[in-house]
Amino acid sequence: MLSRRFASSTRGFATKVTAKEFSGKVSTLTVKVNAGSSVASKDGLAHLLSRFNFHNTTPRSALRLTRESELLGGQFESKVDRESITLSAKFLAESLPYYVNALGDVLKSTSFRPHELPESVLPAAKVDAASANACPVFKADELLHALTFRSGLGAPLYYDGVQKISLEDIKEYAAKVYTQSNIEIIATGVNQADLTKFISDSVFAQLPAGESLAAKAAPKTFEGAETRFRSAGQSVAGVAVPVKAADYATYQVLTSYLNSALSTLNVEAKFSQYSQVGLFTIIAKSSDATAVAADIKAAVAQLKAGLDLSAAKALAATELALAEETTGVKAVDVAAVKDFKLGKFNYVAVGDVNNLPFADEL
Amino acid sequence: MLSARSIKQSTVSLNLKRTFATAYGKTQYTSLSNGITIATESNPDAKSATLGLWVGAGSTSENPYNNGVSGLLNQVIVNSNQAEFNKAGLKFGSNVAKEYTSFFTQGLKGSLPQAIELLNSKVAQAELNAEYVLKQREITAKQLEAFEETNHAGRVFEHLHATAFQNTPLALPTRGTVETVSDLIAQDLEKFHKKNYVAGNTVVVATGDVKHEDVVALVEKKLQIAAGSVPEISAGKFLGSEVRLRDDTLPAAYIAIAHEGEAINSPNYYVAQVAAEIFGSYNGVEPISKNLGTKLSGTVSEFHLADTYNHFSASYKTAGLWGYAAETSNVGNIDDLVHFTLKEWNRLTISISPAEVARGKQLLKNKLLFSLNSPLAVAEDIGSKVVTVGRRASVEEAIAAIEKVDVAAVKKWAGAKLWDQDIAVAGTGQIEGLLDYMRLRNETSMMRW
Amino acid sequence: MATHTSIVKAGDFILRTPLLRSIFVPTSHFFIKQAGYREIGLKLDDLIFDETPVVQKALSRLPAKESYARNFRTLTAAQCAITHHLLPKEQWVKAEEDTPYLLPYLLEVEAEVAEREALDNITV
Repeated sequence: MLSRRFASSTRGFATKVTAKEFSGKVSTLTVKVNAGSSVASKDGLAHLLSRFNFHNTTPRSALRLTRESELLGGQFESKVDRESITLSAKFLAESLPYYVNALGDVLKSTSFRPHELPESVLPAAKVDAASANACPVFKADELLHALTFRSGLGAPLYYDGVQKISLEDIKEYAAKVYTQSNIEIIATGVNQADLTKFISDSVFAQLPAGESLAAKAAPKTFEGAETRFRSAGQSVAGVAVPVKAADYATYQVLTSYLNSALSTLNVEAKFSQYSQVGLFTIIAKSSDATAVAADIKAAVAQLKAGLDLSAAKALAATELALAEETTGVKAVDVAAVKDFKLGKFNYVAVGDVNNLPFADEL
Repeated sequence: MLSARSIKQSTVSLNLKRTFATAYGKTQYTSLSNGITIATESNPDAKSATLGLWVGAGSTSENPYNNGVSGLLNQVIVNSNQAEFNKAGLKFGSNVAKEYTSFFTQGLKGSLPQAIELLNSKVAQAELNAEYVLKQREITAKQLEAFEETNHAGRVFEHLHATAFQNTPLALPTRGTVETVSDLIAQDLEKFHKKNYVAGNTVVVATGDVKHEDVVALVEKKLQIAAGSVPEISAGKFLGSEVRLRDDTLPAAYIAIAHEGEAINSPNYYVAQVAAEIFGSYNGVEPISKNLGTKLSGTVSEFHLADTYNHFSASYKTAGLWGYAAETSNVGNIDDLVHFTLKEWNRLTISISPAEVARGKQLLKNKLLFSLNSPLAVAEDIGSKVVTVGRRASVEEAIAAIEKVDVAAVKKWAGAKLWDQDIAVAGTGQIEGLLDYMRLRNETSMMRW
Repeated sequence: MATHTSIVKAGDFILRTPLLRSIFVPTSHFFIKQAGYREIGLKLDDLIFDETPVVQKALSRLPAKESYARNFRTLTAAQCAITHHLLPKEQWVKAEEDTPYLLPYLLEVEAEVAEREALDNITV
């Protein structure tokens, strides 16, 4: 079955809706909102709004939603990343109308009761931030984003309490991002016609029209920066390179190559593909900082000298196809990729920094 | 007591008896004359193809002296050949479990011919380099050490099996121990491979964008596995017992308690799973944990009795375990945690309500269907079941069997398997508050007139 | 049957019925004067028996300013009790100040408790 796109101007309903059918007994309904940490005006605001999702709404309380959802055999969650807040529900196929309403109510009618913030949202948010920041690899990733993008994509992903956020801020942000033009509804295992009917009859159609907050142009990026962060535990050294959209394919193949057995380097590569720009990172980690230093130096030396990537193209195509199956992100075409040479980069050292190199020593 | 407004009055009608749409895909089976079984499930939506060998040789095929050989063999085969698979555009992975081991490749649609050739030469006809085995042995031993020292919940789960099935093959830790793995040599791996990697013990599974006839043709042509039948493995026998590894230096208490459960082919396999899903899992840091629909989660969240717990119904070929594993930093109240949990288990026999059973069934369906979320997951489900018990219930069969479970079935099963039956207990961390075996054993029933 | 929700329901009924309103409203004003809590600086909601989980939860949701004011009134009343003196007439709580500040929070908490009980005993 081919995925079909839907856009209709009936009743000014401007939300993009994609339904992908397949024969199965279960369905998923996902609402992707352009409201991630790069969109919010305050640090951590997107995280708190994401944590506030699925709390009390005017028509049904959080308790009622949970209990009814369980009896229908469904689960829901809200996730935040740098570009979007993603509300998703996965359920047995007959429950589609219930979940269309439930998700619509979250966007339109969340009560934002004052007591929910200190009782429920903030403790959960604190745990998210604490457990993520306890991982030095995450810390390195955050710092590399901050060095490369400064604001927007460089803003911290989770709420750290540095900027004060009040309930009013969260309510304002919700009103700004939960609008018809700023959300995309993706469904699997549902009938296209049924879905569009349910949506246009539901609370989704009553959302304000609003405007899309998706990034329209590539943000300014910075190179040649470095930072060091002392912490106990594992040591991590990371190198990051901002990537223009035209170069996505090269960096996807490079990531596959470095993470495969074809490369003898002891580093992990990650390619974060955002809508207008990408960030390619290499991480060396170990509990022994001198081993990390050796690994990152070897990696940077080999990449500066230049690499032929043709051996990894087939593997990259496979990995991108697998990723498309799970996330739905369209795989880039890697046929034209040839080789890679490392230019300017940003660098971060986390952990036992006394034994980790400086950027000019790489 | 006020009787509540039935959920039928809410916005959507809860009609649980409607028939489901057609299955995700039909699994096709072929048995070759040499004993190899081939199973395929096509999904034209998939962009990839997964092809793998499932061999009925996990830790239950080992003995206390070569415990870990199955896992080490996996590591050796995968790590020494990964680069060659990658060059061909394939991801190569493996998995070792108690009753089977698997080697699988993931690639694009047209990758099957190369995949089967490589699987044949590297897995079925594996040639082991003695020095490489020693090198890999060091790495594996280090990984096991890290597992023992940091993964406390995993360690407790292994000890639970070790005590519950003591003196039978199911007791052996899945990936071995540091001591046993450190003594293995290439000859041990070769012997194990020769004995267990035989045609009658192998299932070839292909999922994703694949066609059954193509796969059968490829296997007939390219896969050469020594003839032979499934080696004899003695059955797992449950013994009520406990093992405690008290360690007050750990930040929490990690405990696991289980009754004897159901084997995969047991008629009560799904009843046990529904019963486990009735109590489900709990994670105290999530706001939703205060709102879950179980009495146990309400008690636990009100008094912070546990950080996390999850109920399981683990099923193997000849035996199973039904119980839960919990982690708690409220170590002064472990006795309360265990007391309330076991009293809730008592309720399965005497007072479980239709709403709770309905909830458990629905959540189990959701869990089952959403676990099959990639070609690899589907392949793992097919391969593991077919190589262990010879058949895999299709999705429709499973859903129908879950639908059939009702309050009477749960009460009957629980009355026979849980009420006043022996338990196996394992724990580590600050378990001073975990009361003695007889106290726990007595909680498995209530004094009633 | 003595939840604040039921009391409010009964009170609304009385206020809607002219006959009952004409009996109960003057009687309640007389009762309040005789009780005299306003003369030691208290509001009606300060008198609610608060050693119950419902009221404790409602109190935890009070905005900070209301909470500080409540505590100040409690201390003032305690001092009056010790000294066996009433407050000077200017400091008595006026009728228009004696608002049910805690009532909305109590009703919300009681509704949550009732909903939880109903959902715990759901029939499918």
